Amino acid sequence: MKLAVFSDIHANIEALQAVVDDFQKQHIDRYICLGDLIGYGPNPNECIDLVRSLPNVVVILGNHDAAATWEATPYGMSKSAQQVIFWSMETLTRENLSFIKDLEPTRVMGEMIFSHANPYNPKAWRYVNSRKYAARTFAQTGKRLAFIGHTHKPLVITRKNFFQISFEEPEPSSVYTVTSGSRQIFNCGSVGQPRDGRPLACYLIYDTRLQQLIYRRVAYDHRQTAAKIIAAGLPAYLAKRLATGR
Amino acid sequence: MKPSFEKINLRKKFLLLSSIIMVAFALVLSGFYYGYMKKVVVQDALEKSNLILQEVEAIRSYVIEELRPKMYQLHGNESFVLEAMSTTYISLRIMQLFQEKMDGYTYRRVSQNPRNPENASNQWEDEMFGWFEADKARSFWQGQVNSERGSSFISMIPDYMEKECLTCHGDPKDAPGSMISKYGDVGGFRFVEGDLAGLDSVSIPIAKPLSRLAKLTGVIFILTLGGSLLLLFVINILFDKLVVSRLAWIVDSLQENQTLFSPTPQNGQNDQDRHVVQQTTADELDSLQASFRHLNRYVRTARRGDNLQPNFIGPYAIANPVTTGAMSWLYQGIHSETKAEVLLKIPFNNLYVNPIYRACLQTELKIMQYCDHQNLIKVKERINDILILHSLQGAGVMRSMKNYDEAGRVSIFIQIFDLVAYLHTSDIVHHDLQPGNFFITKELSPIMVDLGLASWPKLPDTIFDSGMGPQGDFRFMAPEQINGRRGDPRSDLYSLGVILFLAYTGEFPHKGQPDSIQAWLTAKGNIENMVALHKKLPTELAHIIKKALAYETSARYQWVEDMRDDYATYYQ
Repeated sequence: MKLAVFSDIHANIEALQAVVDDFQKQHIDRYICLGDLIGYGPNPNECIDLVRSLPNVVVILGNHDAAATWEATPYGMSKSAQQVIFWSMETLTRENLSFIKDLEPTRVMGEMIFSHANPYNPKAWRYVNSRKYAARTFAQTGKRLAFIGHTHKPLVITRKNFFQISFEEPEPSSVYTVTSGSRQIFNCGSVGQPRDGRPLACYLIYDTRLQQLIYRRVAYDHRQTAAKIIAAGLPAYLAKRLATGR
Repeated sequence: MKPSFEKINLRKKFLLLSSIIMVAFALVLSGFYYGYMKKVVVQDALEKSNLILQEVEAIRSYVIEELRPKMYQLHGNESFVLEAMSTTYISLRIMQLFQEKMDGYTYRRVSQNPRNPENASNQWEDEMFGWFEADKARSFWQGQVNSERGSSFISMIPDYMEKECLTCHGDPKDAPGSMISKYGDVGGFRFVEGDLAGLDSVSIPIAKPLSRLAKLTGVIFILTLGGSLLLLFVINILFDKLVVSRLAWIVDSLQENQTLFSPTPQNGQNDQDRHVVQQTTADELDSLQASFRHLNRYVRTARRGDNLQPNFIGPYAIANPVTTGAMSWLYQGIHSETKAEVLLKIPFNNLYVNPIYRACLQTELKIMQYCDHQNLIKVKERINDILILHSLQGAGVMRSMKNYDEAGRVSIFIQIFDLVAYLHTSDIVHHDLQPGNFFITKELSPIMVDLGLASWPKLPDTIFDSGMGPQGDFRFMAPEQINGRRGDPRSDLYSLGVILFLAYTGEFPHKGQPDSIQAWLTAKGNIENMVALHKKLPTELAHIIKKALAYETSARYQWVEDMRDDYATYYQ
C-alpha cells in the first residue's frame, strides 16, 4: 500500500493542486492530510474541497483548523495568523466549517500513528523538533512509526537506541528504508508554506510493502498565491515568505 | 381434563415449584434442628447420669474405707449399725433425699440376692446382670430405656463382692448378731469373693425434654414455612412486575405480528393452521420460542418473496422482500405519488426491542449516512429508524460467481477490494463480509447493502461492550474474530479470502461442519494447506488466498490494497 502523507496546506490552492497532480503519477492508495488546511493563505474553501475530493483520504485536525472553529483559541497565535483565522471564519462555507469541526486529532493505522503535532497530546500543538519532545513521543506513543507536520520543515527522527535519538533534514527525493523494529518520527513538511528555505511544496510517500519512504518536493506558482494574498487584504508578510520558503 | 404441568402459565409454574421447594426447605430445616437438638439432650442426660453414679460410688467408698472401720473401732466387731455402716443403706438413703429435690431422677442399687427385698432386681435388671456376668471386663453401661414411666437414660456399673464385705455377706455365722436379728439369715448372704453382688444405676428422664423439643420443632417449621411463603409472595410480585408482564408484552406483540407475518393460506391450509402456535403452546417462554420459530419460517418465506402483506412506510409502499441482513430486511418500495422505486431497510421488528441490537442498528444507519462510495448503497432519506435507499435496478444478490466470466469476476472483486479499502480508510471494519451482503448490478458493480455488524471508533462498539461474543457467519469469520476480537481491519481480509476461495472453487475452505467455537478455531487452523493443495486453484491465486487466510494476523495481508494489487497483478 502506498500512503501519501501531506500537511500544512494553509489555503494555498496552487501548491495543493501541484501536489495533487504529482499524486496522480504515484499510484497512491490512501491519502493522509495532517491538518492545517486553512490559515495564512487565500483559498481555504478550494483547498478543503480539493482534499475532500481525494479518494480514501483521512484528514487530521490542525491548530489553524481548530482555531477557525474555536476548538482552540486564535489569540495565542501571531498577529498575522490571527488576522487570517478571523478572515477564514468569515470566508469558509458552512459545510466546510462543519467538516473541519468533525476532524479527529489523531488516527492510528496498524503500526502507524498520524497527528498534526505531538501525537501523545495532539491538542497541545507542540513542535516535535527537539530531543525532549521526540523522546516524549517515542515514550508515550505505542506505535512504531509516527507521522507529523506542524513545523513546516521536513524532518526524520530516529530512535537509534534507548539513549540516542538522531535528527536528519531530508533532501528532496531522499529515500528512507524503514527497518522493522526501528522507531521513527517523520515530519512531512508543508504543502502550502514550506519553511526550510525551499519554495517547493513538500510531502512524503510511504510504501508499506517495500517499507520505503520518499520525500517529494513539487514546484508551484507561488507568485500567483502571493498576489491572491495581497488581493484578499491579508498581511503582505505572508505573501513574501512564500518566495523564500522561510 | 386436568391441565398438565406443561400447559400451566409461567407465573403458576413458578409459584407451584417455589412452594414445593419452600415446604421441602422448611421440612429439612426443622428436621435437621430436631435431630441436632435431640443429640444434645441425650448427651446432656448421659453426662448427668454418669456424674450422679460416680458421686454415689464416692459415698460408698467413703463408707467402706472410713466410716465402717471407725464404727467397728468404737463399737466392736459384733456390732453393726445399719445407718452408719451399710453402703447400700447409706447410698440409697442419700439418693432418696436427692430424689425428693430432683423429681424423676432415680438411683437404684439392686441385687438378685438382696438382704432387703425392696432392692431385688426386676426383669430388665436381671438381663443386665447376665450382660455383666457374660464378660467380667464390662464395667459400665449407658443407654436409653423406654419403660411405662416414659423414656429415660440410664448409667449402670456392676458391684463385685470384695473380701472385707464377706463378714456381712458371706456365711451368716460370721455376720454380726444385730444384723441377723434385723434381717434374718436368708437374704444377702452366701456370697463368695468376686461374685456380682449388685448393680448401681442412675436414671434420668428425657421424655419431657423430647416432648418440648418436638413442640419447638413444630413452631420452627411453621415460622420457616410462613416466612418462606411471605418471601415467595414478595418475589412473585417482583417476578410478575419485572419478568412476566414484560414477557407477556413481548409475546402479545409477537402474536400480533404473527397475524401480519403469516403467509396467506395456500391450498390445503386454513386459518386454524396460522394460530397453531397459540393453541399448542403453554407458558410465555414456550410461546416466545414458538413465535421465533414462526418468525424464522416467515423470514424464509420472505426471502422467497412470497405472500407479503401490503404496508406503508411514510409515502413508500412496501413491495417484495429482497434479502435479509444481520438485523434488518431489505424490501423493494415504491413512492406512492412519484412511483419512484426505492429500497427500504427495515429493522427486524422483534429484535428491535433488544437495546443491544438497537444500538448496532443505529451504528449501521450512521455509517451508511456517513459513507459515500459508489459500491455502497446510497441513503435517500431516513424515516424514523428505516432507511430509504436508492433502488438497484435489475440487481440481484451475489450468490454464486459461476454466472460471471473471468473478466467479470475480476472486475467485481477489484471493486469489492476498493470498497473495503474505502471503509478501512474511514476506520470502519465491516466484520461480516460475505456474498449475501452484496448486490450485483447489470453493469457488474457489487453494491454492499449491509453493515449491521460493523465497528467504527467514532461510535461505541455495542457488540464488544455487551460481551455478546462473535456475531455473524462463522464460515467467513477470521479466527481472532471468533475469539471475540473486533476492530482489526485484517479480519475483513480473512473474509475476503474466504469469498475468493468460494468464488473460484465453489466450496468453503474449512472442512466439516464445526459446531463449537473451539471446533471452528481448529477448522480455521487447518485451512492453509487445504487452500494450497486445492486442484481448482491456480498456484498464484492459491498463494494470495492462502496469505489472506493465514491464522495469525501478522502473517496475513496487512492492507487490503496489497491484496488487491496481488490479485490484479495475477490477472494482468
